[in-house]
Amino acid sequence: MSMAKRVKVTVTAAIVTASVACVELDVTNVNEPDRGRALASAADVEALISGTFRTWWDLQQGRAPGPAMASLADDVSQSQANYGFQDQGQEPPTPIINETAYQWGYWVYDPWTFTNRALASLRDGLRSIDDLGLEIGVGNQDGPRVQTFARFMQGLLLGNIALQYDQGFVLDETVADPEALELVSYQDVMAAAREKLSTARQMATDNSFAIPGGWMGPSSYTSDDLVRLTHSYEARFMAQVARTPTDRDQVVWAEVLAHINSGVVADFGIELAGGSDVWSVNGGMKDQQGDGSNVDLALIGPADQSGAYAAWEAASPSNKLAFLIDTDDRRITDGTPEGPGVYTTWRNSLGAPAERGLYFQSNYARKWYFEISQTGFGFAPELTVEEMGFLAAEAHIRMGNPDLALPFINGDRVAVGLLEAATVDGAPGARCVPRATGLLAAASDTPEGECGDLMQTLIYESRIELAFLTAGNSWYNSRGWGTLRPGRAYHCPIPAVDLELLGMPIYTFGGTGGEGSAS
Amino acid sequence: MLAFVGRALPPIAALSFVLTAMPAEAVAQQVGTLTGIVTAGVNGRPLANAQVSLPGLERGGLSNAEGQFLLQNVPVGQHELRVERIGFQPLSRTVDVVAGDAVIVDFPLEERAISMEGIVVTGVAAETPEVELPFTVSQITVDEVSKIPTQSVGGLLQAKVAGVKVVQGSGLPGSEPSFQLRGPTSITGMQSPLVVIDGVITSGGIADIDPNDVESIEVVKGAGAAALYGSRASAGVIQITTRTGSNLADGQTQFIVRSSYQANSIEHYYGVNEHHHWRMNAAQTEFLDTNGNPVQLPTEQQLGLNDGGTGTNAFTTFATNPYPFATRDPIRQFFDPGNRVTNYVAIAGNEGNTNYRISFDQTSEDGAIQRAQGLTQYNARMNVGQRFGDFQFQAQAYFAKRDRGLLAEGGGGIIRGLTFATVAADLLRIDPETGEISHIGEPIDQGNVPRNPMYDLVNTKDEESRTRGMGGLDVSWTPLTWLSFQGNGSFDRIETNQHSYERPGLLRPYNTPANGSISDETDLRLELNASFTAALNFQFGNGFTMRSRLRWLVESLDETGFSVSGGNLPVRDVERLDLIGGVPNVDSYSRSIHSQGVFAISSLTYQSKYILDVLGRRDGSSLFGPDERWQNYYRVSAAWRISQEPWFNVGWLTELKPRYSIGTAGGRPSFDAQYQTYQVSAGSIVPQTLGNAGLKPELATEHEFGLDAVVADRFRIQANYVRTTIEDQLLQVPLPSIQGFETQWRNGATVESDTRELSLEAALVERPSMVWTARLNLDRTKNHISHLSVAPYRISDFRAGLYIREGEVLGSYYGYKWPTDCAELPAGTDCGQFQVNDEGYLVYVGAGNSYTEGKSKSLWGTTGTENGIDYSWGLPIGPLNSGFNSPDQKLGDSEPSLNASFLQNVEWRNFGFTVLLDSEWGAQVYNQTMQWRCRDGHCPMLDQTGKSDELQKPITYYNAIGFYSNNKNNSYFTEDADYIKLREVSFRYTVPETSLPPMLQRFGVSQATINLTGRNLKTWTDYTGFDPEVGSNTFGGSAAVGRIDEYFYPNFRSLGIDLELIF
Repeated sequence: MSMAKRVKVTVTAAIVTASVACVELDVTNVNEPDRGRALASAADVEALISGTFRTWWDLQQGRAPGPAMASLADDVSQSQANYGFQDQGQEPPTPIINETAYQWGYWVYDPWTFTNRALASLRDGLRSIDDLGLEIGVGNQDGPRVQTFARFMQGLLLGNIALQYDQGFVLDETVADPEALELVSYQDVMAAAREKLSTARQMATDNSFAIPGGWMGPSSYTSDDLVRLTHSYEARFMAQVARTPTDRDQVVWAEVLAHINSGVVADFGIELAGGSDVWSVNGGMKDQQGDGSNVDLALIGPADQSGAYAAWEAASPSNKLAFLIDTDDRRITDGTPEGPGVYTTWRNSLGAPAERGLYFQSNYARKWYFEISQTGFGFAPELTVEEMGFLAAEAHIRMGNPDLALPFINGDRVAVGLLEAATVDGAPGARCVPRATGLLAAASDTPEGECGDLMQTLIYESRIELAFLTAGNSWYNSRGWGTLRPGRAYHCPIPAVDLELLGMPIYTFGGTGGEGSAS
Repeated sequence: MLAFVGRALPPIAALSFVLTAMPAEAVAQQVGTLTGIVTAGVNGRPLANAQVSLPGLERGGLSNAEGQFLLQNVPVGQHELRVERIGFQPLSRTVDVVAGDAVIVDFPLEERAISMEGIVVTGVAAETPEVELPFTVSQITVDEVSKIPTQSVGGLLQAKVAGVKVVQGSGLPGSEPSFQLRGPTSITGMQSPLVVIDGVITSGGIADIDPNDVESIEVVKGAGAAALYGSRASAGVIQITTRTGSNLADGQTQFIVRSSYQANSIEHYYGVNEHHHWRMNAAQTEFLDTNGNPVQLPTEQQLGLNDGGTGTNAFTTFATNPYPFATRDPIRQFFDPGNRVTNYVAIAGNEGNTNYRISFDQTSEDGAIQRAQGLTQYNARMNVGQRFGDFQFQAQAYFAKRDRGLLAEGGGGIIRGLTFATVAADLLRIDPETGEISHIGEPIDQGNVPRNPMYDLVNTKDEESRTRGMGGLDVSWTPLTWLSFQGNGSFDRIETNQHSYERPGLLRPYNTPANGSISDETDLRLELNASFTAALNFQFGNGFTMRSRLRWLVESLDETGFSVSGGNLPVRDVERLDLIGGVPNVDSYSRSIHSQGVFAISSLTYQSKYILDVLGRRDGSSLFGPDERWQNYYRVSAAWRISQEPWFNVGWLTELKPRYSIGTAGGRPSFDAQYQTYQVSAGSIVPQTLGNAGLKPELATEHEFGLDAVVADRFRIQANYVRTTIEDQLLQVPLPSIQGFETQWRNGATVESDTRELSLEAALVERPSMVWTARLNLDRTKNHISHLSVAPYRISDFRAGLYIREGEVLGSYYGYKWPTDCAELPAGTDCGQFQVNDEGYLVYVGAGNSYTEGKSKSLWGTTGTENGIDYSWGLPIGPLNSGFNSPDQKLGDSEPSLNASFLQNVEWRNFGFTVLLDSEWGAQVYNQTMQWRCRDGHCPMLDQTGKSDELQKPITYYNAIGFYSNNKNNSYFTEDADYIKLREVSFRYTVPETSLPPMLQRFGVSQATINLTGRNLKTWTDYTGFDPEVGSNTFGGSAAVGRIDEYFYPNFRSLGIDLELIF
C-alpha cells in the first residue's frame, strides 16, 4: 500500500470511528425526576398534594419558626443565637432583623418560603388533574379524597401565613399567573384559609374516604376525622389570628365553640419512629432540651409565692437575677424550690452566661417531650383535645358562662399540678396559682400580686399545659391575651429575600414602641 | 580546552550516539577524529543530550549519558565546533583536525540562567519554543522541581508564577489546594482550573500526585490561552507532565532512590486568655457562685462574675484574675504536629526504540493533631514509550492508594470544640473512674461546653480510604515528515470509601450518654477520554512555517455513590449498619456527563519573528441545556519579535516581543443545573429546581496584551495586562416562593476583571562556577460584577456573608460594621457625646467624660441616650443598638490588591541555595474561629492584665453584646490578611561521583544529593489565627474566594532532609 493510500485509509478510519463513537449528549437525570416523570400519573399527583403535609409538619415542629416564636412568647429562655432564640428573647425587645445578610433570619424566611411553595405545589397538582383529566383511582374513586385533602392543606397553609405575617398571597388553583398575584392583608388570607377549610369540610362530609398512612404520619384517617380536624384548626385560627386583645375580644366565640364541639376527640399528632424517619421534630421546640434551653421564668413565675418573680419582672434587664420559685404547683417543683416537678426540673446551672443578659438565666430546665428529644421516638402531638378545651374555656368565659370553663381549666391543674381547683373567681387559696404578676397581670384588671382571676388562671394553665406543643401557639395566643412582653413583635414582615425578589422595600416589626409591637 | 590525544579516547562502543556518517566521497580525504566531554561548568556534572555540531559541515549529534561525544572522519583542517544545550550558554571552539589523530575538546558549559528556550506543549498547536509564543504559558521545569523537594504538586506552584495563587485552605493531610489563576472567574464558585495529567483530563484532584514524578508543569492562566480546552477552561489550565525515560541518553539506565524526612510544627497559635473573670474567695483559692458559695470543679454551675458586687454584672467585670492552679494552652496541647516520611524509588531507561520509567513511593504523615490518624499513601507509576518504525507508542499507568483520618472541620467538627476550652482545661486529663481520657476537658462549663475533643478523638472513627487508577495510551504515526496522526485514550478511576463511627454510651458532660452513630459512604468516579489528531507541519524555504492540528475528542464522566447512616446503636464496638435503630438514612446518586468537541488550530511563523496563532473549537456537552448544546470558542494571537528585525540594532536588548491575544473559553454548569427537578422521598413529591433548557456555559473573553524582553542575556521581563469579561455567569437564582420551585439556574451576570502581571528574572552572577539568579513576581487582579440580571442575593451560607450584587467584588463579606467615626452614626447625633477609644472604635462616653474614665467615674454599665438611641457606656456601637445598625454593610473582601514573590537561587560548585519569599496584600479573612473563642470569653483580647485601669475593658466589651455579638458577621473579625512568608528555603549539596564514599561507588551510585528544606518557615502577619492562608472551598467554591477561617485544620511549617541517590 502506498503512503498516500495509507494516509487516506487512516483519515477515513478516523472519521468513521469518530462518527460511530460520538457520545450521546442527552443525559437523563436519574437522581431527581422532572415534571414529566414526577407527575406522570395520578398517583404522582396524589404524592405531590399529600407531600405538602410534610412541609407543613416540618414548619410546625422543626427548627423554624417554632424556637424563635417560643422566645417571643417568653416560654423559653435561651441565650444562644441559633434558631433566632437570642435575638427574639432580648430585653428590652428589639425589632425583628429583616435583612438578607442576617444569618438567623430563617425563622422568618423558611415559613414564608416553604408555605408558599407548598401552596404552589397544590395549585400545580390540582391544575394538573383538571388539565390532564386525570382520574385518581379506578373510576376516579379516589378523586374526592385528593381534592378534599388539597383544600384541607390549602387551609392549613394559608392559615399559617395569616397567623405569622402581616400580609400574604392567596395562591390556589384559580390563579392563572402566580407572578401577577397581589398581596392581601392577613385578615384576607385568613378568610381564604377558613374558606378552604370549609370547602374541605363540606367535601369530606359529602364523600367517604380514607386518608392512607404516610400522608399525615404513619396513621390513616377517615373523612370524618378530616372533618373534625377542619373544625379544630378553624377554631385555632379564629382565636389566634387576633393581634391584640381588642381583636381577640371581637372573635366570634360562639362560632369558635361550635367548631371545637365538632372538632377532634383525640390528640392529633405523629408517632415518631426515630433515626432518619421522614417524620421528625428535629431542631424544633420538642427537640430543644439542651444546655441553656431554660424554662423562661416568665412562664412559671406566676406560680411563685415568694414575690421573687414580681421583683424579677420589675427589675431592669441588667438586674434580673434568676430566682428560686416557691410554689405548690407540682408541675414545676416537688414543693421545694430545688425539687423536680413533672414538667420542669431544677439544675445547678443558670444555663446562660451573665454577660449575655441575666434575663436569660434560669435554674429550671424543661421536661416537656424529653423522651422525644433524646431518642427521636414517641408521640409528637400537634393539636390536642386539651388545647381545644382551653379555647372552649375561653369562649365560655368570654360568652359569660365561666362555670362551663372550669372543667377544662381544672383538668391537669388538679390531676398533675395537685393544685386546688379554680373557681369562677379564679385561683383560690393563700398560695394561689397563678398570681396576677408580671406579664399575666396585663390580661385583666386584677390588682398586681393578687390571685389570678379566671381568665388569668386559664391563660396560666394553657401556657403551662401547651408549652412547646406547636410553632407559635403560645405567641399567637399571648398577643391576643395581651400577655406578650411589650415591644415584642406580634407578627412578621415578608422576609427580606422575597421582598428583594418582589421589588418591594424592606420593612420590619417589633421593638419598644415600634410598629407591630405589643404595647 | 584543546588537547591532542592527551588521554585515552572514549571507547566508541560506549558512546550512545556517534555523529552522522561520513559522506562517501570524504572517505578518500584525510580525516581525523574529534572527541570530548560536555559538562556543566558550575559543578563539572556531565551533560547528556548536548547538541554537538560542526556548522560548517552541517553535521551534528548528541552527547551520551556521560557527556561524551565522538566525531569521526572529520576532514582535516580548521573547523568551528559548537555545543548547545537548553539551559546553557552555547559554546564554540575552533579546532584543528589532524589526519589520523583524535583531538580532545572538552566543553564546560555555563548555565544560561535567563533564556526563553523552553518548549511549551499546553494550549498550542505543537511543541512550541517559548520564544515564539504569542500568549502566556508559564512553565515549571524539572530542574526547578528538583531544587526544592516538596510534598505536593500545589507546593511546586506556590509563589512561582505571577498570577497563580495556591491556597492550601486546610492542613489536613491529603487536602486539595485551591488554585486561582488571575482572580475568580465564576460567581457560583467553579474557580478550579482544568487539570491535565499527561494528556489525561481529570477532575479527580492532584493531592495524590507525587511531585518526584513531575517533569514539568505548564500553567495557562487565562481564557484566551486556554481556548484550546474549550468549555472547561475559563479558569485556566494546569498541565502536569510526568517523567519518562526519553530524556536519558540511548542505552542509559538510571536508578533513583530518594528518602525524605520532614518535621512539622505550627508557627502561630490562637492566643488564649490567661486570666479569668470569675468571682473567687478572699484567699483566691476557690471559685464562687453568684451567691458567694464555693464551687468545686469541674462544674456546669454558673460561676459568679468578678464584678465586686452581685457577681452578675458583666459591665463591671474584668478578666484580670489569675487561675489558682497550673494552666496550659489547650490548643497547643491538642495540636502536636508529627512528621512525614517519604521513600521513593524509580528506575528509568532508554534503550533503542524503548524508553521507560517506573516509580514507587510510600508516604506516611502524622498530621498535626496528636493521637489522630494521619495519612498513609502508596503510589506507583509506569511510563513506557516504544517506537515501531513510523509509529510511536506512549503508555502511562498510575495507581494510588491512600488511607487517612478525617477530622471534621467547620461547625460540626472536633476542632470547633477547642474554642470552648479555657487555659484551665486539660485535654489529657485522666478520668480516675475509667483510667482513660476524661470526657470533661474543660472544668468550667459556661453552659454549652461539648465533650473533650481529645476524648472524641480517641473514641470515634472518621476515616477515608481512596484508590485511584489512571492510564493512557498515545499512538502516533508519522507517515510523512509533514504529516502525523495521533490517537489517545485514557481513564481515571477513583473509588472513595468513608467510614465514621461513634460508639453508644459515649459520655457527654452533664448529660445523658450518646446513643451512638455509624455512617458508611462509597463513591466511584470514572473518567474516560479519547481523541484523534491529525497534525500538519510545513516548513517553507522562505522562512515560513506552519504547524496545524485538527483534533476530535470525546469525554465521559460517570459518578455513582451510596451512603447509609444512622444512630441508636444497641451495642458498642460493633460497626454494622444493620444495627441502626429506627429508620436509617439511605441515599444514592448516579451522574453521567458526556462531552465531545472538535478544534482546528494553526500556528504560523514567518522568519521566526512574525507569529500568528488561530484557533477554532466547537464543543458539545450534556451539561448544557438542550437548546444550547453546542458552543463555539476561538482564539487569535499575534506576536512580533522586534529584536529579530535586521534594523533592530539595540545590542543589549536580546529579545523584545510585544504580543496580543484574544480568546474565549467556557465554564460548565454542574450536572443538576439544567434539569427541572422534583424531590421525591417516601411518597412525597416537592418541586425543587426549575429547569432551564437554554442554560449555557459561562463565556470568558480575554484580551491579553503582553511584552517579553530579555536584556543583555541577563534580565528577562514579562509583563501582561489582561482584561477579562466573563458573561453568562451561572447563577442559582432564588425564585419568588409562589412560583413553587426553589431556584433556577440562569445565565444572568457578567464579571469583569483587570489583571496586571510583572515577572522579572535576573542573572545576578553568571560565572562558570557560580550562578545566582533572582525572580520577582508581582500581580494584581481587580474584579467586579458588572451586570446582574436578578435581584441581589446571598450564596451558600449565611456564615460567609458573601453577597452577590451588581458592582460588588466577588468574595465580599457583609455584616455589621462597628462605627469608627461619628459620621457613621445617624444624622443629628451629637458627636461630643462620643470618642474614638484606644482600639479605634467609636464609643459613647457622655458629655464631659473620656473613654478612659470608665473605672474612675464608675461609668461602665451605665447608659445614655443620644438622638433617641440608647447607648451603653464605653461599648462599641453594634448590632444591639437598635435603630440604625444594619447587617447589610460591606466588611471587606478576599481579593488581594497585590501578590508578590521573590525567589533567589544560587548554584556554587556543588552547592545550591534557594530562598523564596511570598506575600499578599490587601485581602481580608473572616476569622470565625476567633469570634467563637470570644463567645465565652476565651479569646486573648479579653485578658486585661498589663493594661492600665484607664484602658481596661470589661468582658462584655468583647463577648456577648460586644464584638462577639451572638456570632453575627461583623467588622471586628474581618481581619487584614496581609503577610510576608518565608515560603521556601533550601540548601543542597551534590556529591560528585568522584567524591562519593567507595561503598556507594561500589554500588554504582553516580551522584548523591542532600537537600535541607524548610517550608513556610516564618510568616510575618497581623492576622490572629493560625495562618492567613486559610479558606473554605464550601464558600464560593474556592478557598481563594471564600476566605472564611472556620475551625480548620491548621497549615504547618516543615523542616526536612532529603537524600537522593542516582545510580
